[in-house]
Order: sequence, then C-alpha cells, then structure tokens
Amino acid sequence: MNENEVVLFSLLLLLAFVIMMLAGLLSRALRRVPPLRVISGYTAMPAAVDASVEQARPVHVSPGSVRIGQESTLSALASLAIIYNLVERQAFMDHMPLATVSDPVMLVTVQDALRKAYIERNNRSTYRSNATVWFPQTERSLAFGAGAAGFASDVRAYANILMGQFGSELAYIGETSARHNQIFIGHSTQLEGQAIAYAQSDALLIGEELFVGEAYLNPDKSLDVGGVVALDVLRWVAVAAIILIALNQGAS
Amino acid sequence: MRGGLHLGSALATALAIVTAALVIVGLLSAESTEVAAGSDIVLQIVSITIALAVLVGIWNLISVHVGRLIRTRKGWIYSLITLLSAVAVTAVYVMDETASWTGELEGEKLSPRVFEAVQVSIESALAGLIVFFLTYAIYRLLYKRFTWTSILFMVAVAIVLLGWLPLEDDSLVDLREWLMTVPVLAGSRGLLIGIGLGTVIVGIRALTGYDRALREP
Repeated sequence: MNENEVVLFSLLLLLAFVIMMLAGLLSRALRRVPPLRVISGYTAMPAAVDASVEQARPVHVSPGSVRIGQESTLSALASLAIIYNLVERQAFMDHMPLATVSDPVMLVTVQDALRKAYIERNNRSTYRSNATVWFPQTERSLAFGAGAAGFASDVRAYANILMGQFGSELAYIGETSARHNQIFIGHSTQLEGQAIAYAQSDALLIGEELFVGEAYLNPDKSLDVGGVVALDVLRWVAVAAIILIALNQGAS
Repeated sequence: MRGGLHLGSALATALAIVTAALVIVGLLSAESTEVAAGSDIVLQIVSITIALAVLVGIWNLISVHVGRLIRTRKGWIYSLITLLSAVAVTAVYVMDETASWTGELEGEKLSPRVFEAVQVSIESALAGLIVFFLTYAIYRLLYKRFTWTSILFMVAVAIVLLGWLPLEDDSLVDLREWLMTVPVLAGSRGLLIGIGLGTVIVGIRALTGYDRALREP
C-alpha cells in the first residue's frame, strides 16, 4: 500500500467505526431499533427455517468456498453469523441441519457455530459433528455443487440457504432445489454466482447485504444495527465520491 | 456458564483483538518495520494451521461417508464410490512419490494424469450443462417474479447469447460489447465496492471482539 492508500483506508475504517458506535449507542439509549429497509432474503430465511420445523425436515446451509485465513475471511465471518442465527432457530428439534463447506478451517468453525446453537437451546445431545460435510474444493468448485446438491436431496432438505462465495456451481444446487421443490435462497460475493443466484433464488440477497445478516436476523443487538447504519452511510459516501471524481475529471 | 463471563471466550476474544490489531497495523506499516515482521509471523502461523486443517477435512470426509455406508442411507452407493476413489487416489500418489511404478509406467507421475482424465473431464461436462440450467432458471424467474428487472435480466441474457452467434450483421455483436463494457462493468464495480464496504463493517466487528464466532452461548 502506498501512503495515500494507507491514509484513505485508515480514514474509512475510522469513519465506519465512529458511525457504527454512535448509531449503536443511540439505538441503545433510545431503546428503539431504527427501521431497517426490507431485504426479501432475510424475510424468507427465518420463514423457511420455521416451515422446515413444521415439516420436521432439515435445512441445508452453506457458506460455499469462503475461507478463513484468506481474502474471504470477513465474508466467512458474516456467513457464519447467519448460519448460527438460522440453526439456533431450529436447534430445539431432534435432528440436525445439513451444513456443507469446502474449506477445512471453515469446517471446524461451522461445526463450532452449530454446537453453540444447540447448546443455546439446551439440546447439546442432538448435536453431531458429522452434520457438517466437507467437499474438497477444485478450481471450478463444481464437485462441491454436485456433492452438496446430492446430499441436500438425500436428506430431504426443506430449503437450501446458501450465502457466501459461490461460482457457477450454485446453478446445480438451484436446479436440484427446483426439481425437489426445495426453497432456494442464494447469494454470492462473486459476480458469476450472484447472477445465478438472482435468476434462481426464491428470495433475493445481493452483494453487501450479506454483511448485515446479524442485524436483520437478531435485531436486539444495538451494535449490529449500528453496522447497518454505518454501511448505508459509507455507501452514500462512496456514491458522492464517485460523482465528485467524475465531475472533477470532466471539468479538467 | 451461560449469561456470565466465560473465561475461554474472554481469552479467545482478547487473542483475536490483539492478533487482528497486530496484522492490520503490520499491513499498513512499511515492510522493514518490526510490526510488519510480527504480522508476517502471525500470517505464517495461520498458513501452517490451514495446511494442518486439511487433515481434519479428510477425517470428516471419511467419517461422513463411512457413516452413510454403514447405515445404508439414501445415496450410500455414492459414498462407497467416494471412499474407493479416495483410497485409489491416495495409493496412486504414494506410488508416484515412492517411484514404485514398473514396466512402461516406470518413472511416470500418474496423479496429474488421473486428475486430468477424471476430474477435469467430469467438471467440463458439468459446466456444459449450466447454460441449460440457466435458461430454465430464467423461465422460472419470469414465472415467479414478473418484474421489470426480471425482464431486463432476460433481455440482457438474450442479447449476450445472440451476440456470440456468427451472424453477418454486427449490430448485435456491438450491442453485446457495449453491454459488457458499460452497464455490466459499472454494475460489477458497484457490487464489488458494496462488498468491500461490507467487509469493513465485519472487520470492525472482528477488531472490537464483537463477532459472533467469538461469543459463547
């Protein structure tokens, strides 16, 4: 990073931190969660989990090929928070959800999230570590798509909720979902996967919406809500900066 | 200990905050500084941990598929094929590394050849199916969500696909080129900027020890 980039990055980090804390503290002081815009993916996810409970069928959750310790670490953490919240919602049942991953570190982390969710619901005895399945990732990750889709249909998953990093393999899982009447909610931080998710999903989750999942699924935590406000402000700052730069370049 | 301070969780959170702070300061510092060197050491430890975690993955693969096989769960035949393939690939790799092949195969490395012949061919075949899946997906999209964005999506896909055809008239090709270089590129960048901003928010949560992964139930 050159000196300018370091200064800009530090400013961005500081701005995000200040807004997040202020919005979080204000929300706590007022004891009121600010109204959040509706994101259809986050409306459909808990509804799908609730319906799976009624039908006594598992849900299939997956963060895809996100990797802890690599560039996608923060996407992995965001996906993990969503997985925890969804699994915790159905963790009083006597069966486990299906979780599929393609990174071995993520395997352990997802197992831990599932374990915590079952402990939270005082149902530790139901937890099984092999409900989380690892599919070694290849260059195109199609083996992951085929394996995860096959497993999800074998366990008669009610819904496939996939958020994180996917490529074209998402198409297989979407196709299998349609064939087996499973609800499909997809998202990807990769453009290819996001396009497929847009076409195949029953409810939409796009781009940066992945990173505010905790606030939508568990709105009691004020700092999470602060994160949503900070993201909205940063988005507008980025838009303003792009317009100003374009105008400046046009004028010069 | 629910609801109170959990010692393990507190230690993990403290360790995460210190490590994250060290790495971020190291990445922002000049390469020759001590902080940058400390950050490098942390990243090397992470690399070693990731390499070791593959063993956990292999153990998971074996335990999951053996479990399905023993209980003859639906799809057990695929688990059997997976396990046999795992054993076969491991055996081929060991034979490669110990130079155990004899006769015509002496001195050969078969692992890359097996990978090319099986994995790459199967994945290429699967990749060929994607276009059919997507075409059907667009039909279902219009059936489920008949909105102007869905129609726009369908029109864009049609132009891009038709633009690849070797027609005498170049207007569709030009339109496809314009689509790819102006609105698609702009949209892609917008999406990536949004994702970048989102990672900043999650990064702050991790830096302040507030992330879900660090919390105990």
